Amino acid sequence: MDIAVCVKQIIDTEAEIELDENQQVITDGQTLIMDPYSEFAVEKAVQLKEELGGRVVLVCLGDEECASAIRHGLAMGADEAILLARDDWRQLDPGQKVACLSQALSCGSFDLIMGGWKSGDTANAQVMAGIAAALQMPLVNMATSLEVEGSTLTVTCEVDDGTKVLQVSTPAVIAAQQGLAEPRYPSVRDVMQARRKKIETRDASAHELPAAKIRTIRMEMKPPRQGGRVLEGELAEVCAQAASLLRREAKVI
Amino acid sequence: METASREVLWNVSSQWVLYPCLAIAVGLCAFFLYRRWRMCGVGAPQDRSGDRAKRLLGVVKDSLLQITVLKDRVIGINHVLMYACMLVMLVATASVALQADFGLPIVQGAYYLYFLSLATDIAGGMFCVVMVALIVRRVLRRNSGVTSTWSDYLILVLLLVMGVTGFILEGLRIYETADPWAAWSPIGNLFSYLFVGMSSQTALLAHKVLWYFHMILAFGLMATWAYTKLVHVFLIPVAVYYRNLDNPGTLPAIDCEDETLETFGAGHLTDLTWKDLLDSQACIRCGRCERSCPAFATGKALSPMALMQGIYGEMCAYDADSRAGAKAGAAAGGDVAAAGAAGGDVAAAGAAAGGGVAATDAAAGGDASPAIVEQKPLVGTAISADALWSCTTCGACMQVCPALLEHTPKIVKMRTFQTSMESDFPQVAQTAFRGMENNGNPWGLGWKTRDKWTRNLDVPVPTLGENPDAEYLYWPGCSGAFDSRNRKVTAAMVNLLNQAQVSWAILGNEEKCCGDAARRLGNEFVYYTLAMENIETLKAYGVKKIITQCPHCYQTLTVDYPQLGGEFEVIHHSQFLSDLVAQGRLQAAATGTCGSADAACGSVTFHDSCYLGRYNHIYEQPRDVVAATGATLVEMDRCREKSFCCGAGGGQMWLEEMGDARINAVRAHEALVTGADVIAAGCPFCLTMLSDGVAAAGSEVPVKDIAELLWEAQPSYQAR
Amino acid sequence: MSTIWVIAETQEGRLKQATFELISAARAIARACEGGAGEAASEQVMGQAAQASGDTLAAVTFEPLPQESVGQLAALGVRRLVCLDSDTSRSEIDSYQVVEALSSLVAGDAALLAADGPRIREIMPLLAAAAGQPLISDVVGIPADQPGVAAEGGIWALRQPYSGKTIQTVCAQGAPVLATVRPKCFEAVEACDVAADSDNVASIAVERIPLGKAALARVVKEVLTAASGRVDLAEADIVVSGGRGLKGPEGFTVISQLADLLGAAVGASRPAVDEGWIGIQYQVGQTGKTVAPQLYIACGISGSIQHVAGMSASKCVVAINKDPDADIFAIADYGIVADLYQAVPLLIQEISALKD
Repeated sequence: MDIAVCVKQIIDTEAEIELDENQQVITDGQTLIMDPYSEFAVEKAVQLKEELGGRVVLVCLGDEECASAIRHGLAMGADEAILLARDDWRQLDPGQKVACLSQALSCGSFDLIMGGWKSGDTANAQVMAGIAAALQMPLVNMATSLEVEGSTLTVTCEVDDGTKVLQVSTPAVIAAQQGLAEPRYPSVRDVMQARRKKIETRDASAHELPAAKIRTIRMEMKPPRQGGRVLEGELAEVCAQAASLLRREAKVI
Repeated sequence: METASREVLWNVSSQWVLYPCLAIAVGLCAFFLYRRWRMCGVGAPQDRSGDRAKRLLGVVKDSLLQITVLKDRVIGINHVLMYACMLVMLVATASVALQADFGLPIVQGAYYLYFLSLATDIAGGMFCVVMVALIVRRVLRRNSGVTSTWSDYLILVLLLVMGVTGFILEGLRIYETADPWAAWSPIGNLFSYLFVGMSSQTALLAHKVLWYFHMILAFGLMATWAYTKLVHVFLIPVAVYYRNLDNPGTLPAIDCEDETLETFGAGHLTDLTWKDLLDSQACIRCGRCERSCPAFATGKALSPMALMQGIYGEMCAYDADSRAGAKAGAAAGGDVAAAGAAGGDVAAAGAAAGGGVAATDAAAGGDASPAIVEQKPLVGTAISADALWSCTTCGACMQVCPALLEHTPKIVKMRTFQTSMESDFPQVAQTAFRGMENNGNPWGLGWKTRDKWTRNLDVPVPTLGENPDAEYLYWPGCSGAFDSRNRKVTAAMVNLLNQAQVSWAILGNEEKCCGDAARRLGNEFVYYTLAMENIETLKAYGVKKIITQCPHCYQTLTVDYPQLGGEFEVIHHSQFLSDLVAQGRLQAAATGTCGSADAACGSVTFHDSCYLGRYNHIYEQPRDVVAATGATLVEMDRCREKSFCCGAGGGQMWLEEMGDARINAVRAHEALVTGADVIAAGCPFCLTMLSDGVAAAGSEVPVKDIAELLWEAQPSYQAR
Repeated sequence: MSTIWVIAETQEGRLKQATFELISAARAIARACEGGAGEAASEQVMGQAAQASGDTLAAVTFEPLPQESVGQLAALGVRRLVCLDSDTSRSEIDSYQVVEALSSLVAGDAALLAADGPRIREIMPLLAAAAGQPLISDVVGIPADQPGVAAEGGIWALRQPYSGKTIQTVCAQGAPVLATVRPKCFEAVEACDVAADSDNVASIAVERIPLGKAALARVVKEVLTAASGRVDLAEADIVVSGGRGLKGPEGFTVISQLADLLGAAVGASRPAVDEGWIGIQYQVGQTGKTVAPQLYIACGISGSIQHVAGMSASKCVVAINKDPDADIFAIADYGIVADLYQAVPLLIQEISALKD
């Protein structure tokens, strides 16, 4: 089974984010990692390959800096990687990212295209669906389990009040949710071997893209949670105050 | 009065037969020794030469004088008695042999009376008593910590039989010869009364038969000496001689940038060094390691003794396999040679003949050199995965081992293989690994938040960037920087450093986890990356002296970093603070207050952390600091080198504890029963673990770091 | 004149709370497009505001609504109500069927809003891709007084990318612009006075659009509803956790009551698990699960770093602990220094009062 996995590199999810004067997120000095949702997809793809044979190809829209995330995926067991290099990749809107990725994916004949259902940074949560539509393949979003039998995929995915088990035929697009597979921790041996695998860099800067439909007007830092606020007063009052703050200030209940 | 003596080899004829017997016995003993040497030979090289004088001194101390054996009083005294008695009897036997075989007339006079008769008689008697005592001990304690095999009993019984037959022989001789010097052999003399009334003929015959029996037994023991556990008499001195003279936590240096490295750590028998294999043979299963092991004590799968035995078992199996493989390979090679080697795949033939054995050496054809045998992984055979991952590397096993064997480095080496090569480790550790990798701390908290602790202090905290001339680098470590409980220790340290007007600075966000947990959980790669980055940063700032409050950082920076070229003077805060007190730069309080305004406290018990005490012998300084607070120190039963681990070391902080009991609960209980007002620690992990243990016990006794106690005892604190 | 659509989802036959939040969001969009037309407009119902700006409000549902709900929507200014008609049960409707029906329905309109949730997360991106229209996901707000919105055109929205560490203002141009809206971020419009405005009830008829067969075949094998209704800890939006302060397993009864009220998952700190009061699968922390809910309520938890490492990404933290020096208060947005056995029942009381 030939599987393509769309992987994204993001700033470590625990990192303190900073913006430059152009309101762009600063990546210098930040730890760049493979997006956790991409990682679930890579792990599942590698497991399927180990079970059924075939190959796993990573497809990453990014720049040279993304090599570490790609290497991580190769160390996890992916066989090849394609880097669609564009310096402005972070500024593209979801539709443009879809255009870049689906063009590259349409060239290979993959039985399965996987990726994270969203990313931990921009969290637009629509690229995999876009790819599915562009390639005329069925999508199963937020997959938490995936089994393959011949050309039939049995996928469990999240629905509003539980889960749903769907069957689709290959080729298909599966967007991974947490739980699809527990990412492995590559051993030194795997890391060494990954160094010898090739990353094919394709210049995607000349690629014709549709006009952006979503623009970022402004980016600002959300004031970090302060903590340390203790509500004072009679307990009954304090509880009433807490409930009301949760609703009106924090907007969480 | 004639010279006191006796006829040697009285009533014994055809004694020539002893010589071939002796030759056979010595030959067999030598063969078994050779076999043991051969088994060690498959181990990887390890340099244990040098420091001969020190090594020999250790042999005198721990083999001849058995200092460590004696640390376990009861069994130690028994062992030393047995050993001393045997030595006396050995000298006596040798003296007789010297006269019989070389004609030296020494079995006479005062030497005969005082030593060969009286002393040897007493020694023999004592020997028999000790043997009986040891057999009784094994029977009585069979369900409480002393595991015995049938061979353990057999050896004791045979030795006892040797002793008793010796006395019967002596008794018969005294009875039959009416020895005028009988009184000098009191026990033998007593035995002679057994035979009163026995005919001379019967006595002579009984003596002769028994004498040969005694000799056969002696030769038998001699022949099998190196086969049975009695070989420890030879091997322990050797193991002691080749002991580790460095810090007991020293691990083999691994250069992760070396692309030619094929394997990290010890996955198979031959990845262990010859000394590791020697250790497994020198282990006599005394069980002291097991009885001191916190993991074993709390019902986990680990027993350091079982580890040694497990490796020994694998080594024997490997030896047998490779002998069989060599034979099969040789046979296959011979066949192929006979067949004119026409396209015969020698290796394949060898493998087929050896049953899963790849006899690559057999290509040489016909020679019986050990073939390369397909090895089973150590984890799963020599040790279970559960056992491997429950070690806290506290080093108590090594501390009590009378043979000074090295248990924990073997465990860490095996973990290195499991994690680095196989990626087979408890999954919870992934969080810590990834955290260290991505954010330089095991919790994975954003690396730019490391210096957050400085923001809540009312005093400025200079970084080396701001104060490049600082004399000392203060290294709070991950706990001191991120953990809100340990940040209080850091704050106390800052106040103390300022009060003593020390010139200091921190690295701030440039500091990264020292890598201790990564390394001891087997993740050499992450350790290496962190260590190299830290060393580079420290060198770039020209750091010379580092103060740290974490014994794990201390150990890593002093023992591990020099392997990678990072040589710094590292000072644990207990050392530094006790020096400041001694110099009068910090005040020593007259009475204990523990600083807390609410309650005066009189007594403090100090918990020795493993990496401070056992690994680095820092026992006095933290106690000096406690004393400087004016408090009375009360010791736990297990303190100093006998201290019992808190349960967090060796990366356990980042794993899920298994087993029936929690190590920290056991230790917290030991601390609580001292009745001390405060439990003191000098390690952030111990602080956390003991606090948890105390809370779980439902107690509210405070657990504090020594720096907090000292700061709270300062007048400037109390003036606040 | 252009239409703003909302997907009015139902639960047990009734409109979900989120639907009223969507209407609130739709009004905000309408107001913004109008150029921030004064406070007065914001008080008016959508119908009136929409007339001023030329926008109308429409709703689409996945199952027939009871008359009362239809009335509610009408009262809130919904001028068109479409029910996607299917012969299968609501939960077995395939996303692709919905996408096909919606893409022709909303084509050319101003916007389609839906409340973020697993089902919507599949439908909306597919719809966006099929229709070639932009999707703004996980909207948390509509910028109220954007200068130049009218000039720029398009729909402006606020998002919180980078795990909620940043606030992003985006502008999307589309016909329609699709948006998923994070629940609880908009104040739900009051939906009580159905009877008072009976004219509106009469004025909308429910259109029914039959769902066709989806072009891309997906066979539904099975639909499983979460057994206890209890949410999965790792993915829950709200987590209520208990620690050593519970003093016994019975503490989790109180914790569960609060969790049930909030639709939250139950968590625990290591001491509570160690004591055997609750299973290890509930453990949050360094050696347990890592959670990042919108709301984390820590009851009787001291806040050791081993625990905090597993929940520090929570967006809002409430701590209830007897010990005022407990470390958990340092990271809590709202701290309550009290015995949890007193505080939690009071909190339950207050929250249920708010919910009614």
